[in-house]
Amino acid sequence: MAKVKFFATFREVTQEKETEVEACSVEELLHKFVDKYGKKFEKLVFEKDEIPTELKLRDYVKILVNGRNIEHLDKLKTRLKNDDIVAIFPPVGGG
Amino acid sequence: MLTDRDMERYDRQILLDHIGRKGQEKLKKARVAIVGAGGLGTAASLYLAAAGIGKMTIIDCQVPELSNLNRQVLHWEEDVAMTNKAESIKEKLSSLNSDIQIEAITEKITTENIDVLKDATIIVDCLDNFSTRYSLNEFCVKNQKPLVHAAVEGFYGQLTTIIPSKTPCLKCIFPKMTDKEIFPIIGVTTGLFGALEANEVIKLITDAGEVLAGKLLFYDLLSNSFDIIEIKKNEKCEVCANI
Ligand SMILES: [Zn+2]
Repeated sequence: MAKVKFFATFREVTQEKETEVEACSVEELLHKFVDKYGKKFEKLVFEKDEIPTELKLRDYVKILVNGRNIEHLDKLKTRLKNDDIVAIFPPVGGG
Repeated sequence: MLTDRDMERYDRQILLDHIGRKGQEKLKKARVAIVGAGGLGTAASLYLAAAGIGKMTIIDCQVPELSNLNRQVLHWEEDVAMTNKAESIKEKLSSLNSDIQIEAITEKITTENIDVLKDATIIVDCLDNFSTRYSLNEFCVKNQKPLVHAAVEGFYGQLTTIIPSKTPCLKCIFPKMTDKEIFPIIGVTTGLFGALEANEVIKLITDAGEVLAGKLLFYDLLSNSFDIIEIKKNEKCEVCANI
């Protein structure tokens, strides 16, 4: 099981601070969350093209696995193992 | 050396074991650059001036607008469209603390003029966009200067302290950030995060407690929830991998 922490808008939509989930990759984890938390979560996380071929994360969705941004790992294909800690948050940029 | 007036002015913080006379002397010798004189810059510079940072440089090219006043509380009605933001803060803080040196730079920081930050020992990111933050990050990594980062939106903010060659840099944590022209914000969020940035600077200078090195703090003011997560360096980071 991976331990997942939600922040800000993700916390609002999921109504949870953290959860545990069995998933082999970040992609699978997000699919499980779409099933669990529904359309609202899906809309928050994924871009929807006219004809969806490949899932694409929205720009503001940042995912860290054990403190590393998945951009620098295998993006959505990043593998997950037991006890990995996943953080999902929308970094902000204002000042 | 601390003067009698310093001893009196800073008495309540000199009383702290974590600061003491030695710590106060370090604060007096410190040179801190505050990049951005908006909401974060207002709160950070206010508390740093009050704490007795010997020399502060405040940098911003903008002029206060009425819509800034809900959070940039060192710019007042009389300043709207009348003065530069860095100058405005310099003027207010000089009457709060005339014993410190405050320099205002009224230009936008670019890769061309970023060397104006060379003299600073610590740099505080009070910017409102990531494109300038990335330049600042590169400069700090290259010149091995600690960078205190905060960013805010709405009731929400993030904070971390980057210590080049020790911690991940901004590009490791937030690659590919895009910028918004206008973001919704309540003044208390910038006030809180600017004050937290000042606190990181004071701890860096005096060695008090611990700073958020390799840690990212989130605070959600709507639910009063506070989280710290560990962050790791990207070994292939284009900015900090070979430092
Ligand atoms: Zn880096």
